[in-house]
Amino acid sequence: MDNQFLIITVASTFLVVLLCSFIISFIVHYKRRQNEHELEKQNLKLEYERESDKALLELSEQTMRIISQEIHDNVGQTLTLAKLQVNTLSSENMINQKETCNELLTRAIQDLRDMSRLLQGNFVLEHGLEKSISRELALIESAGVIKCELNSQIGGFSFKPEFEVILFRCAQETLNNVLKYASASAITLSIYIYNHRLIMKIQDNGIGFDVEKNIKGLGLINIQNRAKILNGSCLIESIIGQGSTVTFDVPLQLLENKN
Amino acid sequence: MHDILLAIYIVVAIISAFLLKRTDGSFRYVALYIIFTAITEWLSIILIKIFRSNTIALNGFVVIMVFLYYFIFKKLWARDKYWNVQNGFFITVIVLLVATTFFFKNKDDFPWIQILMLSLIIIYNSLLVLRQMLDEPVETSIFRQSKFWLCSIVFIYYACTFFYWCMYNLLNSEALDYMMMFNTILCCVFYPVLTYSVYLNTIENKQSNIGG
Repeated sequence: MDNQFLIITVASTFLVVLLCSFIISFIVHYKRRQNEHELEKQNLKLEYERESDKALLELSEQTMRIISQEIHDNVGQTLTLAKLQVNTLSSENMINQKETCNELLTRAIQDLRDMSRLLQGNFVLEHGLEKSISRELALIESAGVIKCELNSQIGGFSFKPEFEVILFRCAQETLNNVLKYASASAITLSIYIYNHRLIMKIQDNGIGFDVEKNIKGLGLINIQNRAKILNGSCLIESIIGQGSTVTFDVPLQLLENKN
Repeated sequence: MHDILLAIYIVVAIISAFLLKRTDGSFRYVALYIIFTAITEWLSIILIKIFRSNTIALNGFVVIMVFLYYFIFKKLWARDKYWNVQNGFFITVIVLLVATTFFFKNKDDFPWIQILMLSLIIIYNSLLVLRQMLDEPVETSIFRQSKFWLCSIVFIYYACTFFYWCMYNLLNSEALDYMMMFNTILCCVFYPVLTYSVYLNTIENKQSNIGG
């Protein structure tokens, strides 16, 4: 009888101690996992910030190069020509040379204005992404060479202005590439929301190119870096002779303006 | 001691009924389980006074209990890839348990075989959920997580219950009474902790609603 009581007491105590030790070790282990998880999250955040900073730095370097190139190739050259005209002014050809100088200076002013428009994000901040893209396409179409089409389904959405500027720059840079290299006669830009993501697709019917060979050139890395800043991705597809498609895919969570 | 436990049943059942609407997923079933337990325990007392036996109520309650636990763990496991395997295992035990209750055992006997089966499957499931928690840790302190309190107390309680019912046929009646006292003390801890987990769940829901 006493033996049974003793067995029960010892066995019960042993069981309770065992179970409690299990739960305590679980708590300790869980806390360790929590710390590891927290550390992993912080590392990921740091990595993301580092990548963003790197991308921003590369972008600013690229922008500086574009400005330098534009000044050297266009404005610099035009002003040099204007200077030559002024230096060789002669009384018998004065009217013609004055007119040429006037034309050259007007072109230089226009080039500077174009460059300023290219760099300024004010229009995007004031009028939003949709209107800015529409204006950009209208400008391209006004030259009468390329037919542009805009399919936008983002009318009801409000995005953070700073991200709208980055997205606009993505579109602008892709369109500039089409103008420079694609020899296209039509551009279609579609922008819509799908599965909580903003999708911007730019298609042209130009000559196309080998994506793998040209990924480091044509400012494609630059375009992809811009998408990275938005925590998104940029897919470049092209078939030689059939044109190219550039698709930006950005999570809406980051873009959306909650206010 | 038993009177204290009966009073605890009333208190936890009232609190659970009050919290029922604000709970979600598994914890709605936990609240229902607490209420059903309180009702069954009180019904047992009435049945003992009238028929001198409460086994019918207990047999019925074990069947309800297994379904409640099935839904509790189903909701806890809902997004896990191994749930389908687990589901099959659980359903097999449910079928065995129900069959034992209705066909293989006399309804006047205490349903200790069913409780043993149920204890095993509950221990196994609670351990797996605890393991799942280790795999997917969250920022919230473990002591503020309803899932932790639910699984740990269920694990401790059913491990002790399993041990108790394993000893059932080996001990004489006086030793069994002595063990019954352990079981009563355990119940006095089990139900308030279960209710606390339900309460924590309502707080978690409130916070997630505020957070959007």
